[in-house]
Amino acid sequence: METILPGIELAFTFSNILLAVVGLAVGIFIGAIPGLNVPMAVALALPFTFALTPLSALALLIGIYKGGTYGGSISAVLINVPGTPAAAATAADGHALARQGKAGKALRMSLFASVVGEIIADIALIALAIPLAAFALNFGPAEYFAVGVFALTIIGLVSGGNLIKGLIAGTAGVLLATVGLDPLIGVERLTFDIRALSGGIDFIALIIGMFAIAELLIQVERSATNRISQRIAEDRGDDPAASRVSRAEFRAAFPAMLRGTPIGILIGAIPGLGSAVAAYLSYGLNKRFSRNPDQYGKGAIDGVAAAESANNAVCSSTMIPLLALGVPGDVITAIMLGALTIHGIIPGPALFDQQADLITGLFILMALTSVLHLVVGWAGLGLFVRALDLPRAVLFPAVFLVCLIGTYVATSSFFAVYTMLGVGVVGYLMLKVGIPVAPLLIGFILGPIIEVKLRQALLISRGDITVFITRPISAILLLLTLAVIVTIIVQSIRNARAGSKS
Amino acid sequence: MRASARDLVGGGTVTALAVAVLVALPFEADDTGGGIVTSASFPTWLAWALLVMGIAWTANAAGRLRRGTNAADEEPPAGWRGTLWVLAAIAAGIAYAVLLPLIGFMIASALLMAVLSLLYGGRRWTTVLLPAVILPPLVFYFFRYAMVVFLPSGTLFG
Repeated sequence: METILPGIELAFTFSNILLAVVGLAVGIFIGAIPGLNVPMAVALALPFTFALTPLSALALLIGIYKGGTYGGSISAVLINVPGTPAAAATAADGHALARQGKAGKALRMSLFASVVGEIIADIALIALAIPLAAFALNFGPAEYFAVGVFALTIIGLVSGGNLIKGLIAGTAGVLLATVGLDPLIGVERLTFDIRALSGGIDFIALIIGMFAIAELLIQVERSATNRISQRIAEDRGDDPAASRVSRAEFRAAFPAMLRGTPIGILIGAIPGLGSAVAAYLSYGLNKRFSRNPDQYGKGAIDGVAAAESANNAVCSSTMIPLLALGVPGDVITAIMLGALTIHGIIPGPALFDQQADLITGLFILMALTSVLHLVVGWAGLGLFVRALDLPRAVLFPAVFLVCLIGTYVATSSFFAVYTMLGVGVVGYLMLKVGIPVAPLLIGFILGPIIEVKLRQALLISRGDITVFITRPISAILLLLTLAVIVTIIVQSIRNARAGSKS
Repeated sequence: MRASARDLVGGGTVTALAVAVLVALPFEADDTGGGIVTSASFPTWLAWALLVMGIAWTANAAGRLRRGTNAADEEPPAGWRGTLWVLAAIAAGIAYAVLLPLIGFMIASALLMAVLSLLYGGRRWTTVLLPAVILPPLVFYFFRYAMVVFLPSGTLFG
């Protein structure tokens, strides 16, 4: 209690609030541009924080982090191009809603869910930082492997009714992730003596190619056959009511946020998994629990809420291992660790005793940034939706250009630009033959986690495969995986029988 | 092309790619790394899984073709014009990446914007030329001054 008042005093300063607002605005802008990612924005902001107080520095960086994670959903909803990997799960329903003339509704729900996820995760950070960090310490290679395999079952849920095509895409994603140097022993695999491939297929190139370029090629094909109007907005037939999120819709989507947020908190507390895994896991599980699972992928507003609440909850919970153990949960918190160290703050259990005022101030600042996120995000909504009023002949070339240059800037490599174009063509062909692209991305994200942790666990156990079932967390996760797989197979058989009867 | 025929092509392509990976893997991966799962075995399992699924998909599509249960496509086919436009957009992207280091970001981007604008149905000069002239400098200076990233200015013009 005696640290709360000094903490409030430290957090509630004009400069902290201003820097959080600036950080949020910059983050949303950067996050919305495909290719420009949040770690890049946080890294660029780092030198500006040297002259600031520790809390002011964190206000700016946390603002960019939270704003950027939400910002990725804007382009995902409007043009089906996720600005960040974490927003890929949002694209499925968010863009489907935009096609129905409900882009404003999807963006508003995305904002609300992000803020709800952040606020609940902030509370969890305050209440559970130390116990959650201790729980995360129980995760060894076997547990990471089990989480990865469990998360892989989402493929069955995002395959759009065709399990085999989804599995093909997912397996291809895991296979593509093996290209490059072997993560354990450093030998080259499937590089075909191309030096640029030794680092593997670039993730930015893959995500932009698979989602953005493939979609842009589909659009160019449609424009050639005059199957589209001059403006996206004309397709939508907007009416103001379609832009709002009604109280009933918010209430209906709230359970999805309540399910998604704990997933985000847990995934964020475990270093190395990241917000994209959280978003897909939440999306998949919410689809399973939804009263209208058939609507997922076709414009389910709770699908948007599920993905966004989970990926933004990660922003707060990645701070748990950082603050409690000094272990960064992702690249962004690794940069923040650098910022803290520069200011003479060494994260770890001792920090909670030695600088209690600062920690309290930081917690208050996190919650304050979440509230400000709602204000800044709301102010920008109208502006983003108006992007759809631009003629296609202006909007799509601009997006194409940003994809090309965004990939170049993110990777400093022309090879990555060619890779992105190649992946885009593959994505276009996949869409033409009805293979969903989302499972490929899920496989690509989870592949390295699964392979590395599988091999590490087997090396540690000297080849004893029972290691996965003798450790309780791993055993529970693998049992859950089995249950989900059985449910998906039974459901597919039922659907096939129903289809053949009709 | 109807759905089953398209599935036949898709399944055949996946099967062929899986076979290609399986053939290449002994030369492209070292079978070391210790333990049950080695550097080469993990991708090999994946390639086998792809092969099995590719064959299943192909067989399913062939069966549907033979039975005549051939669903119509959800969307009408692209036609030669659609395919040509897609190829032109890909060519524009490749040409951009080739020309970028030579003629620099400004000119390459302006050309790309104008070509793509035409492909996306732009006919008026306000939609084809104006964005091509305005956007590249905006992006260039945004990256230079806000992001401290120097985009290629071109070697052809010194």
